[in-house]
Amino acid sequence: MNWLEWLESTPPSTWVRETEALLGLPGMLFLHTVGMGLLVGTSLVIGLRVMGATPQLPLPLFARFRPLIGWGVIINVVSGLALLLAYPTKALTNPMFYAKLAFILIATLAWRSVMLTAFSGATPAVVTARTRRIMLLALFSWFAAVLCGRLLAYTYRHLMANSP
Amino acid sequence: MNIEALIRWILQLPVAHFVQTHSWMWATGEILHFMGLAVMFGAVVVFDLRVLGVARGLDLRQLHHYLRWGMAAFAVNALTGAMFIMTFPAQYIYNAAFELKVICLLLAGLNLACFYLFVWPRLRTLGPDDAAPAFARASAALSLTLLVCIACFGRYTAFYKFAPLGY
Repeated sequence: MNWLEWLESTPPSTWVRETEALLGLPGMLFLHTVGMGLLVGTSLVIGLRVMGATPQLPLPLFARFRPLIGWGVIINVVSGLALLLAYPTKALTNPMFYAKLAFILIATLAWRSVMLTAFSGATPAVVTARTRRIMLLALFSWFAAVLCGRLLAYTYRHLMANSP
Repeated sequence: MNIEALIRWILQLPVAHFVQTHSWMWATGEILHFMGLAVMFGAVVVFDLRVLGVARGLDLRQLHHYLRWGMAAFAVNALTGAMFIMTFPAQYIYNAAFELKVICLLLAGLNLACFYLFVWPRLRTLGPDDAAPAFARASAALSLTLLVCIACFGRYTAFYKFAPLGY
């Protein structure tokens, strides 16, 4: 019995996969969707402002919306781990899953880089052409991660360790 | 026209056959539907939270710019959503979660109509630091609640029986 088969047989994995409770698999997918909306959606609005949309609106005030991104991250790490626990083979044997993680990593690094310059506390905040390009990379990577995440439902090769 | 006849009529339209025989159409529709959801969340959440008092100092007329992104995303989601229904009409018509989603969508539409008829004419006269009146805040709170409900019932829709092309 390999470790994926063992993991799938543990009570927490079985519970998320098989429970009829609303908080089971559909509940985790719902939370993952809301977390995505908060994370990617808020990032998009802040990102558009950093890249030059609505220049009359003071950039530092957009920092007030940053906690929404933090909530999105927390919701999606928890729900994402629950979904991974339910079907580890399905995700870990699919290259698309690693592509998704790579895009999340790129987006996170690019986002942090922009936040350090655009919201450094220095007034007025300096947004250079380079900062805008990095922000574009961050937004592109967030949407690419959404794309890969959605494709996980269609591109998996093995649903579970003992399935053909 | 009874429900079965309606479903048969939808199924004989070219959309159902085309999407069922080109599975990438379904996946592409889902990808766009989720990206549209993310854009709508960003636009609506930021605008409604400003109305509720977060980030006072942001001028609402300027912030309204982002709602246009939300409207464009809604158009994408209405089109892709229509494609899903026209491909597997029975999956949606006989589906409690989807019926709840439609009710929430209608309420959100009603709330949006009220927003542009009564709330927005008042909000656009406010200065960047002014607090929104109570009825505007109620409208924003309702809008946020319905947004989450629509996403929730949309997600649960896939769990009411057959989703032959993935959930």
